[in-house]
Amino acid sequence: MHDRKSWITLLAGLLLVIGLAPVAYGHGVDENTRQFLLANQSLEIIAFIYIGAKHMITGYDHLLFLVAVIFFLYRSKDVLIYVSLFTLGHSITLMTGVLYHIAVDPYLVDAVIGLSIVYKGFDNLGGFQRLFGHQPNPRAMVLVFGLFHGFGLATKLQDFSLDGTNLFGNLVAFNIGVELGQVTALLFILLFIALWRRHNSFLKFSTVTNSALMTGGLMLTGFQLTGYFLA
Amino acid sequence: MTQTTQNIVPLKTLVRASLSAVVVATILLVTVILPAEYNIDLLGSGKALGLDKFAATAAEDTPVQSSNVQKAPTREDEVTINIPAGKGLEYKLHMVPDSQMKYEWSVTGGELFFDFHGEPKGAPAGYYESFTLSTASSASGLFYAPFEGSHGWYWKNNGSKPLKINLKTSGSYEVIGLK
Repeated sequence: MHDRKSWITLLAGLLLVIGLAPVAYGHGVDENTRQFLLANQSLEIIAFIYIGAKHMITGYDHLLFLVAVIFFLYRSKDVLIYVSLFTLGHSITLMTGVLYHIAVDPYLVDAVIGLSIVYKGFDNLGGFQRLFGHQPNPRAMVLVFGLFHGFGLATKLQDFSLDGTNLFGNLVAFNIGVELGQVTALLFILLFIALWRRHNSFLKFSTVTNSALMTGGLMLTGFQLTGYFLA
Repeated sequence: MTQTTQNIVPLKTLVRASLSAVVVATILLVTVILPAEYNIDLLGSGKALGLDKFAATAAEDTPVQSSNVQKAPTREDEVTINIPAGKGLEYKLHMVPDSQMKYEWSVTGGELFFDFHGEPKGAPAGYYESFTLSTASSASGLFYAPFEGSHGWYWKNNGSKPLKINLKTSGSYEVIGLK
């Protein structure tokens, strides 16, 4: 399975990039703009873990995407791989987005997050094979959409206007919180889906469920795009 | 190598599932979400369902904050604040709506980046409203607090020498001081 090897190489490479990027440019961040707000100057690890976890658990857009992603993943190994890719994706953009003050329009990011749910619902029904005869690599797609979810998180976090000196520590704490929240939410989702799979209704309603996921994603997209055009 | 991580449904089912998603999403968006969130009521359904009230009250609520809070007695202060090179400091006053404060600050031998702003009482940590954002060696004016909260300046010394600010204030406020 040379495929798996190439994935590991890709992962290692990306991890290296996130690991090194702050070191290479880190000290420029302190001088940057937007640090005039001193509401929170100190390193607040627990507080930021809490904010991160809360954001994830109450973020239905992230949760719907997770539900869609693991809907047809029967093997725990697959769940682990896909969730890791999602985590990797959103951690990259969360960290770089905040550290380099990359401000993406929150409406547009959230619209793409909505589309990520539509994509996965459609993909779960084999829509891409049916219509185009080809399925986009689902692992790569999860990583790519993870990047967008991370930009969403970064945008929310920048609303807190973090102070320069402790930015990195607080950011890491927020990211850890996001992952803790994700693991917690995932436990419930997995438990529910695992139970549901034991019943015939799972396959019977899988089409309806994925259609509903698409509906949810489309509503989010429409809601965010309207906000974008009104703003 | 490929493992099934999906359930490839017949084309007919796929089309039906996708189209119904689009139809249901559109209907809910137009009839419920847009009226409730943005007060865009294309079909009048928001009004019929009473969902137009959110947007209406939200629009009314924001600027109004009744000022039945007691104003502080008037006072006068003069303080000197040292700002080391490359550092920033905040000096705040507590004020209630419509109370006023006259201010005048200056530094000699340099300029400061400053942000004159207010943090509403009870607002989430990190929320603030900027009134003036500039770089100068002095500033003065008369300020009416638009809301209750901590109002004041953030000064940042981007130069290489420490700077001394002389700040004179007078009016109705309580000093919170350096933060």
